Amino acid sequence: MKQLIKLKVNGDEYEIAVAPWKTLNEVLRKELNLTGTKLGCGTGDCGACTVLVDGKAVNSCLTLAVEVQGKEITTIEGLAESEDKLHPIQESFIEKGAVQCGFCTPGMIMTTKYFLENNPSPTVEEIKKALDGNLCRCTGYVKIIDAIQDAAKKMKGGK
Amino acid sequence: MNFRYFKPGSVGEAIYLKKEYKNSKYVAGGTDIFVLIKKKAIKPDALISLRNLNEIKGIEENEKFVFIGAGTTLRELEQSEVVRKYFPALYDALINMASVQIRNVGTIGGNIVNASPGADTASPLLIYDAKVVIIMDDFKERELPLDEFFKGPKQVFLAEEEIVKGFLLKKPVKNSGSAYYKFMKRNAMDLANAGVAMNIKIGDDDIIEDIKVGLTTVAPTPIRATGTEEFLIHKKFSEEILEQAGNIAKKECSPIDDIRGKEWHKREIIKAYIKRVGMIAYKRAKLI
Repeated sequence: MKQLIKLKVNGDEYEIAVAPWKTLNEVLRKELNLTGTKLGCGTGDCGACTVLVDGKAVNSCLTLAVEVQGKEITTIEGLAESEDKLHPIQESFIEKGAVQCGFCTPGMIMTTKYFLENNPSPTVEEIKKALDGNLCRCTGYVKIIDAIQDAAKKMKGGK
Repeated sequence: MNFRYFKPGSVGEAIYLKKEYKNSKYVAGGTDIFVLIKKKAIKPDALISLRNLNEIKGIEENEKFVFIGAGTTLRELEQSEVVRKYFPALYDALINMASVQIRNVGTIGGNIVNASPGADTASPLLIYDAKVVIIMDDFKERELPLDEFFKGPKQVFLAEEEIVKGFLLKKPVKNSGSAYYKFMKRNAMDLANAGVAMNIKIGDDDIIEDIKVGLTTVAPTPIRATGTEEFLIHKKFSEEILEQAGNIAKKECSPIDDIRGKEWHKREIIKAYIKRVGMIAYKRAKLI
């Protein structure tokens, strides 16, 4: 039995009918065609599905769409400042070669967004800890850490 | 998958719905229950979300006690000054639990009611003498010491309709310190192979005036190591005495061989960690 719900994603309001057991991940990808958010393990281990709900990083695969009605949802598609200007985290990931196959990247970037907002000047150890819930299977962590350090600098205005 | 979903705004409404739908489940953060549903290990007809119940959220303190609402997320606790100041063993557990994505939605109530023998918040709560505050189906409240709440692996003494309101913890006394440490195979997103929590009060001449030891993943439920506590109380604190206590703890727990590790290895970890955690707790006791 479907329920009519209102979702606010990247500033846009949607009114859609969804079954209560549909996850936020399924609704974003299949109903709203926002396929930037990936689905990896489906059990909260890999972090490829990470999105922000009211500014907090969560696994969209373990979140029901009906549960996040009325909340602000941000996905990788909503991060860039405009069509021609990427977010500094996205720029740093490209510049530092932190993207290989790219499947983990949206989740990595959303986790980084949440992390840097709470900790603008992190140490390498803190970055590693922040990525506890994000797996990269191309073994690219070194460059991802470089990119996060670089993004932190950019976001503080180059200091 | 096929279930109805409700998000009641009050405890009364939640209990009413639980009575209406026999094969239903309460759900808080959902990080465990959704995995079980996806694996088809459980097939509830209805889910009753507890996320809108402000009555079971937040942290309150008075002179002697701190009350932690069951619906408080693990991340909120980790960021709480009260937790950091009074309950460092709980803080030790929180920062090494799961991932930040999970901690942003998972709740302390969920971790306890789920009753995994390896529940990370359990042994810290045990050493702070936590009482579980439960709202019964007639809306009256009852209290139960946490060590009497666990029944067996994944089982607690909680009736179908009852809701855990929260946990009542004693504030630390002067000259006391506490810590928690767990052994993990990898350093991220891992469950404890074995863990030790300790709360110690040091008196004049380094005499142990009070001691509480909690163990994780080495028995059917999280447990207090009462034999170890009896051995340590009123003794003079030293590394040697902790070593002897470790030998008692390793015998009084009852781990099993499983996917996480071998029985003998878990016993050795417990022995080593009694000393390690004891030293940290002692240092913290000296700081206050």
